[in-house]
Amino acid sequence: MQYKAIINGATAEVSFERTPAGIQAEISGRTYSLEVSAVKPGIFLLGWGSRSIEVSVMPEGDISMVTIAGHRIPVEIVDSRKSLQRTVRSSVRGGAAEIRSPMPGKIVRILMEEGATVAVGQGIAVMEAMKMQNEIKSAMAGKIGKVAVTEGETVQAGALIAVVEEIPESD
Amino acid sequence: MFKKILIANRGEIAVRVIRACAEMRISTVAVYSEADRGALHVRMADEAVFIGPAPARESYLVIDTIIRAAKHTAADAIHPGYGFLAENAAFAQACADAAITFIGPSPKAIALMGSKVESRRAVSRFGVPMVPGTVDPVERDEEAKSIAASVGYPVMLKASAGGGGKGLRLVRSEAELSEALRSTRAEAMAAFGDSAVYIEKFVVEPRHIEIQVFADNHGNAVYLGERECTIQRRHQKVIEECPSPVMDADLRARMGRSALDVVRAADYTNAGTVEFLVDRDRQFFFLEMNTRLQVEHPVTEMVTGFDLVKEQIRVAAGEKLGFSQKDVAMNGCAIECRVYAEDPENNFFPSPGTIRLLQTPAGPGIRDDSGVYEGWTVPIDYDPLISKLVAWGPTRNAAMDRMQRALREYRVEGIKTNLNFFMEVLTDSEFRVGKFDTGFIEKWLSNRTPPGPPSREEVDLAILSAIFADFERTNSPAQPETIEKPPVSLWKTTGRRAGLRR
Repeated sequence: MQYKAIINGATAEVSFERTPAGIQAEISGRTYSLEVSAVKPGIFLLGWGSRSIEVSVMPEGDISMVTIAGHRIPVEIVDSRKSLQRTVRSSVRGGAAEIRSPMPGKIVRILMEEGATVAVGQGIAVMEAMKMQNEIKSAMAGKIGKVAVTEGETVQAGALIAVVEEIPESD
Repeated sequence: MFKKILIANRGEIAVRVIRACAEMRISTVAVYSEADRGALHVRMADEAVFIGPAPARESYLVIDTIIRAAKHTAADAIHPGYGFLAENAAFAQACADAAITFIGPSPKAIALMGSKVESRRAVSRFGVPMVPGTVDPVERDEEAKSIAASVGYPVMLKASAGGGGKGLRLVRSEAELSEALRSTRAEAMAAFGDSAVYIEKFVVEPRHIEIQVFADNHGNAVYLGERECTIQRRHQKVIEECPSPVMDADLRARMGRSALDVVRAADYTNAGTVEFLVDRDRQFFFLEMNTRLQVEHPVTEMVTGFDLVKEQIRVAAGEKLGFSQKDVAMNGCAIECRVYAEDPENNFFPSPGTIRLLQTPAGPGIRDDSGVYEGWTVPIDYDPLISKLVAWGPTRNAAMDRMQRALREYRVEGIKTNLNFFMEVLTDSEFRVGKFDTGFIEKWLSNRTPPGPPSREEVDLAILSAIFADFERTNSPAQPETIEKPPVSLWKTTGRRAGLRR
């Protein structure tokens, strides 16, 4: 079966067969014959020649977070059966960035008003979780189009904090 | 001996105390907030009492509720752990008033050592070395000038009401002094509502080394060596070790004697820790005393062989210390990494959430003091410490090698942790030789070269693993909701299992 794998924006074409022992596959001319054991949910033991490699695979929304040899690799799989019309995952689109909360917590302070200009890495709001306060920073330079939270509000991971819009060049 | 102990805490330290009690055949009572109903310490205790909503100030910090829980369960002693009410003199007093033994020092000793000014005044009478400077607030600029001149520049201006790194200013010469006094006073007023400022000599390339002390109610006191706690981030210890790489027998004995002077000054009983700053010329200065069990106590246990929690319980029950100074021997080296639910790749943001996968290391010389389990949701309401990983070895190198091996075995998924951060720090050449001061982590983070990307093969195997997992999920047999459907061929599932097991 043919798959597309997207890793940090780069796409790889994969031909993948499930064999009784594990996997027979080819990626850009490189062939792999692997034995696979399911150790426990989320952990697989790959037998590759004489090498034995343990990996964990955790689905996180549209991607799978794969941990191998200490590296965390986000893999997005698009198979031939799935619709190719995927949600656009990038947070920056159409000249605007959605700034989202990286964790659940409480908004203790808003640092930016709507309409204010921000630089990359400048704090937009201060959030408290686990006894610590952290700034939520802007991912792009621009103008605050919208602040979606209020001080004192408790938010979930992934909640929209603010929208930063591109400032049109004025020349 | 006590029959039942209530643990007024949560997380790994509650689990640690429960384990000591279990070994002593003492029954245990856990307390828990709304967020901790299924927590590990609740699962491990013999009894558990609900004490209120998730925020600590409505549960773990409410003295009356905890005393009531102890009375309700007929506990005869309370272990406070660290944090929360552990250094609260009013809580120790409330225990005494309710005729419940507080496992720790007297309310008076807690109050004395809890005051920056009072504690310094008390220990100075016993000749404990302190960072040269004033204890009392400096009023006039002229007075500040003469004090700074007598201790020598550079000096630190410190807000009397300060803490946590706020209200501090380094002054390198007399020319900077007046302006620095003005701004520090203003900052202290704004931050703490108190403009009082005092002056201390600035300690160059300081290390943070603490001495573990123990005293019983019969006048016996010993010190149990030191802990090196210099590796800190934002004034929070992250790696501790015992012994300190800069220690020798002479310095240890001198610091140990000073620590015992502090014990005498405070009329101190039970376990305590005397914190010192040590400068590059190995001069040491008293910082403060922590009147409780320390987070990093396991490194001392691994090297000295004593069980500090059991010893705390015995001493609180009125027994004599089970050992004297000459019985204290240090064997090998132990290192502790504080495993936090936080994301080092994103400015160490806390990362609470559900632990979807947990594989903890084991084997020779490894100890994992954990407060969590697979499936547990780390709440947003408390400290992000999930576990303390400790490695012991006959030498510092052996302990570091073991720690690296254990870090490689450790797997946590679902939440982010600082395990990879430790992996990198432990390969740092300056860390390996023990050459660091309290600015180490800050410097290290700014010079850090991120680890290389994964190899092409590793990426390929990651892709294939992701496809395989996806494939197994969509083609897996017999989901609970498909129970009505015709059974799957046994031959097929047997064949599939055989394939998986190979």
